[in-house]
Amino acid sequence: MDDVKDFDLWLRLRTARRQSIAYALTDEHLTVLMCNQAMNEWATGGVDDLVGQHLPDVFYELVGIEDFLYHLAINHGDTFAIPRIYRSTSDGQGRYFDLQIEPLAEFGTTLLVLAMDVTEQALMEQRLRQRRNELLLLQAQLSKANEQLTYLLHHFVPQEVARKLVSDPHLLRPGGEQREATVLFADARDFTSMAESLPPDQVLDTLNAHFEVIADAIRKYDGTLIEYVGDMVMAAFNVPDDQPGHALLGAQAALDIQRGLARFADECLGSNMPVLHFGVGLNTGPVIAGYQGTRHLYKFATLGDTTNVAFHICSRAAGGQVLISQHSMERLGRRAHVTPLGTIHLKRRRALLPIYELLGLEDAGTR
Amino acid sequence: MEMPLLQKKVCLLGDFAVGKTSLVRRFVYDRFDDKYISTIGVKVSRKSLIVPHDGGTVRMNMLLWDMAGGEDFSHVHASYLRGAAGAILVCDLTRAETLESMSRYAGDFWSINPTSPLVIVGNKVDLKDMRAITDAELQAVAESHARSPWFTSSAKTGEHVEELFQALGQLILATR
Ligand SMILES: Nc1nc2c(ncn2[C@@H]2O[C@H](COP(=O)(O)OP(=O)(O)OP(=O)(O)O)[C@@H](O)[C@H]2O)c(=O)[nH]1
Ligand SMILES: [Mg+2]
Repeated sequence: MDDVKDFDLWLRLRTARRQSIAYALTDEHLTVLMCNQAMNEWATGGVDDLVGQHLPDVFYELVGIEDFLYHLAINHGDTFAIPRIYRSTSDGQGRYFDLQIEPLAEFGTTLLVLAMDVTEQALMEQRLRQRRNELLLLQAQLSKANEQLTYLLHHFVPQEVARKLVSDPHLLRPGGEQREATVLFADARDFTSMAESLPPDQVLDTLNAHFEVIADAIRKYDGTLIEYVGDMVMAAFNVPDDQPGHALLGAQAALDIQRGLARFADECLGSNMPVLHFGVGLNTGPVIAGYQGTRHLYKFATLGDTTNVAFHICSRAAGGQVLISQHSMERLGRRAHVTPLGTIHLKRRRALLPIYELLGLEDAGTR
Repeated sequence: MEMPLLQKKVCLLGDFAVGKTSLVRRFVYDRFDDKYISTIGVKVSRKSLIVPHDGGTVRMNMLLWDMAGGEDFSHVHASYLRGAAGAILVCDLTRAETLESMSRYAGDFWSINPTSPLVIVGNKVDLKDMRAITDAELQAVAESHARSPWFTSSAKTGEHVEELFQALGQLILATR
């Protein structure tokens, strides 16, 4: 019987030696009873002879699990393995081994400790993992950069335009298309003189607070904010996408701007926020909508006579007033409550332009 | 007076490239390397530290298990965790997703060592402009994991590196 057991152990150790597997036998307290040379080499720092040593003293990987291994030896539990343990080498590349500890039930409380060299597989895994992790990091960086660009795009370019650009980047080239649009300008009255009396940091805050109210009204009627120029806001309707009834939407937004600003002025009472008054002008007609600029810097723009006229009409509007052109008036039809204000004369133009003050809209519904 | 010597196994856990290897390298060798070399398997380093305890001090040998960082949903090899007296959970302050994995690592760790303490670490605090995780978010994660102490660290500058290992050392002594 004992012969069979001895033979079994002999066979296992011989197989280990054949496959250049390092082995050691320990008692349940992890004191080394015997081992082969290869095992000495895996010990931390390498040792001459492990026999008689407490294994965790030279295999730090076993610190903390002494009790666990004691019970493994006593109770003949399942084989315990720690894969891919690293040891440094003088060439810097390092070596790896899988450590396996199994109780030898036939020999009482003896443990068989095997260390299998897996350097080749581990180095291959390392190269694969390295490449994969680097790719994942790059991917994360790219998606972060993408998020930042999207944020920039949506805040420095009109939102509808940004949305179109993201879905179809080919659109981004200088040039434009002619289409009909309703163009709206809102311009602060007496801003320059007020700005001079304010500390510089309060000038922008004041302007921005008012722009917020104006932009809200424009967005409410799906207008496209084209740009802020100094103390002026420019928006357009039916640009870049089709918006049936764009003159009406523009007129509703214009009235809403004045209502919003009046409310805001009330809220500002008693605070130290100076109140600004804006004139609003509206015109409807053909524009060129598209990207203006050079390959170095593009800007989305709606250009043309319609825009110029809208600008001039706005400049005639007093604070709190909405002025509209004949073209816009015709589009609004009888819904519009207006007071004709006669005609204005634009520089270098023969024709006189009739203008109207928009007082309200019938049945248009507000949003 | 002869100080009693203690040997304690400590695991470093966290997603890949958060700086586990770099933290060990800073703590043990006081060095830093900008180059990223992903860890395979496990490398155990030993560092001796003096930990205040019960009005005196205790010398502790920490056996630091630096392992391969996890990938999404993968779990740490149970045999790497067995017998650990504590763990350091590391995230990268510049990558928000690395904070989200913290509970998974804590879960893995506590399923094997239910009473061992954790320290939560947000690493790469030197990269201020790229920061994606706030102190408050880190603190919330620490609170929800047994009110573990938390640190923001930099393996690059050494900021709070010594402190975070010291904190774990003290917690290990306190929970003995
Ligand atoms: N700026 C900065 N870079 C750091 C810091 N810590 C680590 N790094 C860098 O981050 C990269 C990853 O660091 P590692 O320590 O290898 O990360 P790891 O968590 O061990 O990664 P895995 O082994 O793949 O799990 C390396 O390029 C390091 O140089 C830090 O505190 N600040
Ligand atoms: Mg590493």
